[in-house]
Amino acid sequence: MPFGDDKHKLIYKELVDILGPEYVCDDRGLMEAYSRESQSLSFLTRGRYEFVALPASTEDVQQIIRLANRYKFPVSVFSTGLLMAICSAVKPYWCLIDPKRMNRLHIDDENMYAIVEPYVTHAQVQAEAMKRGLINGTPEAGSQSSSLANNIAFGLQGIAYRSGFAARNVLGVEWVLPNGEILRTGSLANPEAGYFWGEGPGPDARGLLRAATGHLGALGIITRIAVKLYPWPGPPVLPTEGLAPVKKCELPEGTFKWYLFTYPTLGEAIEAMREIGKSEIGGMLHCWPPIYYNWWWAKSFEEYWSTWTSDYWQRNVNNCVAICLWGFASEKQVEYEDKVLKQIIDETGGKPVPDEVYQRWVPYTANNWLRDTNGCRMMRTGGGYFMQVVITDSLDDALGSLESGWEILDKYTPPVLDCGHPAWVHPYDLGHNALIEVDFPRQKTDEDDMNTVRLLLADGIKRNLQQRIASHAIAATPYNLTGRAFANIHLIVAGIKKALDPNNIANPSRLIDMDAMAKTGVITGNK
Amino acid sequence: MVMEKGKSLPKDPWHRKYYWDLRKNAWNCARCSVCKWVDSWEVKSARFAKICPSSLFYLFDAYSCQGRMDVALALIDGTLKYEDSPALLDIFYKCNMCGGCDAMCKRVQDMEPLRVIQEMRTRLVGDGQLLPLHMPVMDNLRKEDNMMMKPKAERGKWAKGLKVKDLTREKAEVVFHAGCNFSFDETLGKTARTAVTLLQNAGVDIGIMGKDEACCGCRAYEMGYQGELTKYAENNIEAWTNAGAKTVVTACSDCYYGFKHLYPALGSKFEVLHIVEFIDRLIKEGKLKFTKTVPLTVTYHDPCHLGRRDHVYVPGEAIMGLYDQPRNIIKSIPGVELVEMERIKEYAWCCGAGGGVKEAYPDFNAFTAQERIEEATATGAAALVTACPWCERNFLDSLNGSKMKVYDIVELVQQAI
Repeated sequence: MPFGDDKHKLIYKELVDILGPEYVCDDRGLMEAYSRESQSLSFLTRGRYEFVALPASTEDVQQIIRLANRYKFPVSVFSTGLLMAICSAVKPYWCLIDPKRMNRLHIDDENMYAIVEPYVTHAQVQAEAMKRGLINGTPEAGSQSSSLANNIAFGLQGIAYRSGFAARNVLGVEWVLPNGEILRTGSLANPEAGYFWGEGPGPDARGLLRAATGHLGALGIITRIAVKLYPWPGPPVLPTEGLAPVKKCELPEGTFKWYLFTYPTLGEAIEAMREIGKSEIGGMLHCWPPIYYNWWWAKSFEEYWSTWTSDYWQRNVNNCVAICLWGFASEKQVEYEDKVLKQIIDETGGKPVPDEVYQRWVPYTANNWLRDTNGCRMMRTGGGYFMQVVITDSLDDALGSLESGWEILDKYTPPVLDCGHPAWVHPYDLGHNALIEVDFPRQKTDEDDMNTVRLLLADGIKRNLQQRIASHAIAATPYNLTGRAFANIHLIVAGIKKALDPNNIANPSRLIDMDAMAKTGVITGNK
Repeated sequence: MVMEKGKSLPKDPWHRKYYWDLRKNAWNCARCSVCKWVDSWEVKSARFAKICPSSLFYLFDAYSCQGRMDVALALIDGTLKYEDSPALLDIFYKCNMCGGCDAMCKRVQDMEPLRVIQEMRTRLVGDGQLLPLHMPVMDNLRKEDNMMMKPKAERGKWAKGLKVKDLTREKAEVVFHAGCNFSFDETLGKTARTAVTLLQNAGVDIGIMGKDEACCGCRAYEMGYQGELTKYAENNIEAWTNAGAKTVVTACSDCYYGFKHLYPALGSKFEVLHIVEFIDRLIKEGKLKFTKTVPLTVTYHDPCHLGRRDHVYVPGEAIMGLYDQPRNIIKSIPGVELVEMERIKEYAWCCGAGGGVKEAYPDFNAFTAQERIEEATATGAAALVTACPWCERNFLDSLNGSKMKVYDIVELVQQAI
C-alpha cells in the first residue's frame, strides 16, 4: 500500500480541506480499528484503508465523492458494525466513510415515518417511535445496528411478518451517486413535498436498493432515508427488569400474547404458519430452530454448551411455531385472534410447549424481539457463526433451501460446531414470502478455521449456483461471478454501474468487479 | 475438534468455559458495536443512547472498545509496532476506563474488554511508552503521595479540629480513608468530615491516618503504573494493620474500588465498605434518624467504580454494584424526590474524570461531565447527587452556567439531620 506517497499526501490534504483535520485520519493504528468484523474472514479483511473520513452532511459526502472521481481512489461506507468484509480495502488509496457525524433523527408521528441518517441505530428509532405509539422493525443483527443500513441492505427484521421486508418501508431517499450527483427519490424529488412517499419520479430507483443485499455502496452512498412506522400498542418505554445480562421484559398481557407450539415435522410447522398468515393474525411469527433458542437465551459459554449438550431445547422446541398476538386496535383484537389461533393449532395438530419452557423463553428473550433480538449472542458460541443459507423466498421453497444448507453443514461438521440441522423459517408479509436461514456456530480461532470457512463458503456458493438458490452469500458475491446462473443479471448490473460510476470508485470490489469483467472482455470501453 | 456424545464441540476450552486470556479476549471481539451503545433494551431516547464517552467525543472507531481490541490484537501479534502509529498512546489513554463498554459487551459475550485496555496500558508503561501528559502527576505522586499536585504536608488539613482517633498513634476497629480528593480539595473536604462524624455518632470505633495517609494507588494503576499500586497498597495495608483496624471505610469510589478489588491480590484481608453501605446500614438499624425535611428533587449519578465496576466477573451473572444503597438513602430522606436519569446502574454514563483523562485531556473530561449534566437537567431535578469526590468535582467544574446543584450523598444526608 502506498501509505505516505505523494498521491496519498495529496488526497489526505484535500480531504482535510473538505472536512477539517479532526475529521480525517490516516494513522495506521486508527486504521486497525476498521480491519476486522464478526465473521473475521481474514482473507477478506486483510487490507487496510488509507483514510477514514467523517462527513457531517450529504454535501460533505458529495465533496468526497467528487474528490474520489478527480483522483481516482476508491470509497466505501460502513456504519455501525457487522459486515466489514463487504467493503474490504483491496485497492490502494481506499477511503472509508465513517458516518458517525451523520446521526440526525426526526420522527413525523402524524405521517408515521422516521427520517434517519446513517449513524442512527434501530434502538434510537424505536425508543423515539415508541414514545409516540409507533414502532419500526427490529434488525436480526441487534438494534445497535444502523437503521438506514438495515433498511436498504439485507432488510431482515424480526417483525417482518407484519411490517414486511424492510426495503418496502423505505420512503423518500437522498442518495449521493458515484458520479457525485445527488439523487432524491419519491416525494423528496419535489423540494416542498418531504419524505412521505417512496415511489418515483419516473422509474423507481429504490429498486436498486432492494433485492437480497442492496447495492453495498457500489452504486453510491445513501445519506438519508425515511422509513415507515407502524402502530405500537405497547408502553412508551420498553418495560425491563434486572441487570445485564440477566434482563427480563414483560409486556402488557392484554395486548401481547405469545404462543409456542410444536409439530412432529418441520413441514407441518410451515403449514401451520401458512394458515396463520392466511388468517392475518399476529404481530410476530417465527419457527426458530432449537439452536437459536440456545444462542439467544444462554448468557455464557458454559450455560450455552451445558444446555445444548443436555438437549433441553432440542427436546422442547423442535419444529416450534412461535407467534405473538398484538392488540393493534384493542385488547379485543387479541381476544379474537386468540380464538382464531387456537382453532388453527387444533386443526394442524400443534402441541403447546411446557410452561417451564415458555417461562424460560418468553420474558427473557422472546419479548426482546421487539427491540433487540439478542442477535449478537450468536457470536458467543465459539466466537463466531456463519450464515450458510439466508434467502428470502416462498414458504413452499423453504424445505428445499434448508436441505441444501444442511448438506454443506454435514460435510463440514466437524470442524463446524454441533447445531443440529438449523432451520429458521420466518414468514414475511403475512407469509407471502419468507426468510429461510441456516446459521451455524464455528470456533473462531486461527487461520485453519478461516480456511475451513473459506472452503465451506466457496462450496456453498457453488451449490447455490447449481441449484439456482439466490442466497445472501450469492448476493454478496460479485455479480460477475454469479450472474450467469441468474439470467445474466451481471450484464444489467454492469450497465448500471458503468452509467452511475464511470470511474469505478464506489466500493469497486463489491456488487460487481468491473475490472475483472473488463479483463475478461465481458465489458469493455463504452459498451 | 472435541466429539462428545456424537456432538462436535469447541476444541479450545476457552470457548466452553471462560478464563482470562488477553489475546483471546482481543481476538474474540465480533465488532458488533454493542460496546458503543447503552444496552438496547434500555435505550429510552435517541439523545442519550450512547454509553462510550470516548467513542462519542473522538468518533473514530479506534477510540471505542471495539477499536481498542483491534489495535491491542495488532500490537500483541506484532503486526503493528509502536513506531507505526503516532496516535497509539491516545488510542489507549483517551478512555475514562468507565467500564460501560465492558458491561455492555458482557451482555452478549464472555469477555473482559476493559481488562484488555488495562493490561495494554500496563504493557505500554512497562515498555516505556509513557504519556507525557501523565508525567507531572506521576512525578508528584512519587514525591508527595497524592494525585492532586499538592504538597504532602497539606494532607491532614481536612480533619483539622475533628475529634477523631489518630491511627498513627492509636488503634480503632475502623479506619476512615479520606483519599486524595477529599484531603486536598477544600470545597469537598467537609464531606469527609461529615462522614466521620456520622460514623462516630453511630458509635463506630473509627480513626484516621491524617497527614500520614497516602494515595490508594488506584488511579495510577489505571494509567498503567502497576508498581505504584503495589507500593501504596503495601504501605496502606501495613498502616491499617498497625492500627489494629479490621474494616476500611471510604467515601471515595476510586479508593473503594482499589481497596476492594485490587488490594486483595496484594495481601489485603480487610473488610472494605463505601460510606453509602455504612449509612444505608445505619438507617436500616435505626441508628441514623432524619429530623429535617429537605424539599428537593434530585437525580443520582452512579460512579463507575461504585456501580458496574464493583463487580467480580462471573460469565452470565448480573453485573452487580452498589446501586441500591445510595438510592435507599436518598429515598429515606424526608422531602427528597428521586428522579432517575435515562442511563443508570450498569449502563450509567461516566462523569469523565477516570482513567487518567482528567489529568491529560481536559476537553474530553469536560465534555463527558457536561453530557451527564445535560442528562440530569432533562429529568427536571434541581440537584445531581453522587457518591464520589472525583465525580462531584468534575460536575462542579463543568456546570458551564447550569443551575444544577451538585452534592455528595453525605452532604444530602447532613442536610436532613
